[in-house]
Amino acid sequence: MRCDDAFAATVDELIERRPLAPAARAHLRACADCQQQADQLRALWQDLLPAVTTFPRDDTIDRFIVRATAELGRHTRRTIMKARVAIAAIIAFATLAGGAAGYMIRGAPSVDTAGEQFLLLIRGEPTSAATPGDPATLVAEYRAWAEQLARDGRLVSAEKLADDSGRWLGSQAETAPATAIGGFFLIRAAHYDEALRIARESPHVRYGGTIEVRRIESTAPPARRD
Amino acid sequence: MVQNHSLATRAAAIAGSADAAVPWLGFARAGRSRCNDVAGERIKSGMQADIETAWMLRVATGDEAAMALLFRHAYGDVRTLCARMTLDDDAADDLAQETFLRVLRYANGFRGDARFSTWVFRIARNVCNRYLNDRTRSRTAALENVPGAGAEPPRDTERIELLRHALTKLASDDREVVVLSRLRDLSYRELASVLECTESTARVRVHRALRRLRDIMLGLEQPDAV
Repeated sequence: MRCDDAFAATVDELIERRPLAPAARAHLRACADCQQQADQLRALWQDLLPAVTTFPRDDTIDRFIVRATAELGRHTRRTIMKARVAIAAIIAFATLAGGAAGYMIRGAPSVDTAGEQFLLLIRGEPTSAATPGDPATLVAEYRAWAEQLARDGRLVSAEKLADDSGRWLGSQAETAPATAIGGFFLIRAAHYDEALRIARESPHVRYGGTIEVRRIESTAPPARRD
Repeated sequence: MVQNHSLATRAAAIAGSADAAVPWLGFARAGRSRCNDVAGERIKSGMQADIETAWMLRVATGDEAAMALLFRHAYGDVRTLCARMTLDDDAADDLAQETFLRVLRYANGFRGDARFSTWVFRIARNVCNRYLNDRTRSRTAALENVPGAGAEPPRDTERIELLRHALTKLASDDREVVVLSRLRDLSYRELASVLECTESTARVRVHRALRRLRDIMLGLEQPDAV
């Protein structure tokens, strides 16, 4: 065993808290310099903990615990609300897909659906204290709004996004917006004002959430003039 | 809130008699925080780490008592890491508290797959690195702000003070590794998790850092021999 390996073995002994390998022990017995270095290292290790340790002032932690307790309360309320909204959104989107909820939207659209398409990006979660405490009520409100969109013939598509932060690529990944997108609705509306009116009626906005409204720029070729 | 119920159940399973262990941990922790001679008061890192992980899982469910226990228990070590990484004792409390506030913010993402200590140290590193990147400071000014710092070694040649001075002579990467490895007796695998590198890289970094620290200490203890 080389001297470098003996030093490494001594470090491993300290970090992994396992006995020195026989080969390392034999080398230290045979090499006085390495034995001395190993002793120096062990002494250094022993003194290192009191050397690195720092101490806050007596009242620092107490004052911070008070602050952290308040923050935890805010976090818990946000978490509960997020869970309720997630449930509501999932059921609303499932209803639109005509799946588990078992609803069928029949009949002709009740409004003129000519015009443009707009993307409603559901961001963040509601923050209003007026949000229904009962999740079932919140679910019913989300579902009613979504079903009305479908009945009116305005709904083109809708999906809920998974509850993770997704994956980012590209140079602007680090400046990605903090407010996550929970899902989207693609709707038909005559113009921005109408799209905004529709979005404003959503329980998500009503209870303090955010919806980003974006107009789809049509890439369809213009109709031929014969 | 099914997910949080599962986390609470898991926390209870891991903690076992965590509540019964609290008084003992609290006593040992208080003793350690008031005395430089920590050899007899050092808690076995494995048990300590498991209890912290159990507390953190409870924090994710909004348990204020668990949060207070956890933060009091871990605050000192996180503060120490921040102080030693930045060489700025005045900023250490702010950085430690920012770390714990982020712990609350990301609480729902903590699953107990990794130990709380490796998770919180990773957050603390990011907080400190951002602080170092954001602040423009001269190396001399930084050295004046942490115990043991200064351009000249302390006249009092007490070994602990000399070792503190030697730490300030280390490159920041080496100092970070030394502090992390000694603070919680982290294994190479746990160090790798904190440093976000491979286990072999962590091992190489520890060997290099301890070798350099030892050489610096020899130079300070025997200046005429250098």
